[in-house]
Amino acid sequence: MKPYRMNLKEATEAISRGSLTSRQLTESLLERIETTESKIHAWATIDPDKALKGAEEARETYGVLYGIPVGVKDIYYTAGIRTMMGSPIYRDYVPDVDADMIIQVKKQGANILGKTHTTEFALHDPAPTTNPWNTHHTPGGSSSGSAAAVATGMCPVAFGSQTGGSVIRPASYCGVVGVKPTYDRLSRGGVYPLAWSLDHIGYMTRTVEDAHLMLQALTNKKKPWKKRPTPPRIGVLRGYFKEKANQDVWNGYEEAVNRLWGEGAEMIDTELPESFKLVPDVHRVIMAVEVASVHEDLIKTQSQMYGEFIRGYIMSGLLVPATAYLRAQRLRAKIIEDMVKLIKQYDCVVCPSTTDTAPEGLAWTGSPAFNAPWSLTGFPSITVPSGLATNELPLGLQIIGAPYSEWSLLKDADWCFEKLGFDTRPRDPYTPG
Amino acid sequence: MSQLDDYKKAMMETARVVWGEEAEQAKPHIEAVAESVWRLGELELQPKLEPVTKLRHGEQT
Repeated sequence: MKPYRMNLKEATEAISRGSLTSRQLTESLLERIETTESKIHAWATIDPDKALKGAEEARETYGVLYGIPVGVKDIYYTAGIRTMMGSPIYRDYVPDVDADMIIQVKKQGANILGKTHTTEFALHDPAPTTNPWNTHHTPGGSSSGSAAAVATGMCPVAFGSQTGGSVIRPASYCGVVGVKPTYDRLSRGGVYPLAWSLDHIGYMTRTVEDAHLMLQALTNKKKPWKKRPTPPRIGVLRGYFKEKANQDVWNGYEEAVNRLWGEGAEMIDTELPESFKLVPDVHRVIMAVEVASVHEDLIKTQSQMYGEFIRGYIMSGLLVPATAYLRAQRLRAKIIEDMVKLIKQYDCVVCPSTTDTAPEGLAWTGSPAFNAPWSLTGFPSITVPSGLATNELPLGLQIIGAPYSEWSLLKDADWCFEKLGFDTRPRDPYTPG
Repeated sequence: MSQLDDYKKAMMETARVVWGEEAEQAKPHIEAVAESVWRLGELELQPKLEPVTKLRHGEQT
């Protein structure tokens, strides 16, 4: 097997056995990038010499990610590597420090392959990245480059971040595994903020076991991988999700639910609490105000350097009264309280990962409506690919757990991933017509 | 015109005072946020309901 086709676990095992070196793996990934990047545009900055030098240096550090090249969303500070935040304001910015999570993966033996494209400041103004399943479609955002790079086999793992749906949505659109751990589980230090109380560190891999390996590396905890011995007890969410999903997504979701039930999972219909219907308004008010606060000073001097969407978004947040922001945060407390009660009745709950499959064109990266609830509550969520829609684009199943349940949630997600049986080996970019 | 429409109009007028014509480009955002603020403002909350000031879900395992 060509090294670029290896998933994270296979690559770490091959390197540990001595049958593969970090340099060989990095070279294979760089070759893969060379052949696919002109169609995918996943990378904002990549320096092959620096990546190969990093692979040599990584040999000095033995850890869970020994010798593994990692893709990094371009809002994470990376010492000595340009970090543009998807904005022309930062087009020449080279940090002299690493983000906390970059320090952590380097301690675990990883090296930085390059920086992946993000939407502008991780909001909506799109990146140039395309979807490997159909390059006429968006890969989703804001972690656009990371999802597309993992799906194409340009790297086995990549960092993203999520404030609304920026890890789960692109992972689902690109047919890979996406993980958004509990709020504050992983340090956001050195990651350019979008909205502090909603921002989450996250990442993409091609298998759930790889996601477990990555979480071990990021938390510095040794948790041996064990599969679930019995099928999980799963709460099935409909209501709000059925109202907003398109028919293709909903059919795929019901099929996945039936498949899991057929495999022995306890699938229990569950009613969302009354407060859940407030999620879109509460999320919108909090996010608008916090985004405005983050950018309030910079936009005074650099207004013309901002894209149209984010400029309007900032303006809307600046107009919100302080009491309205606090009201939203008070209602958020109520939503969290109600949802904790619901979710603790099950091993996990499920809903579709997205409202639709990847939209055509690159201008709109899709709706975060199915992910924002878990960014707002801070609950951990994972997407696993669940099948293909009638337009041959991937569908995802989103699996959500109680706060700090990541380790068991990964086992639940792995059980679902295995039973749904989606092939997540690297895809060659497809351009119809 | 409903009270919600009045509120959205007031938000837009404020935006025009602050940013002039540039406010027109932001109209969809301003109106969407105004609607959310309005809807949440219609709810009656108990004083004991405290805001989330820092998400802390409990001890990590």
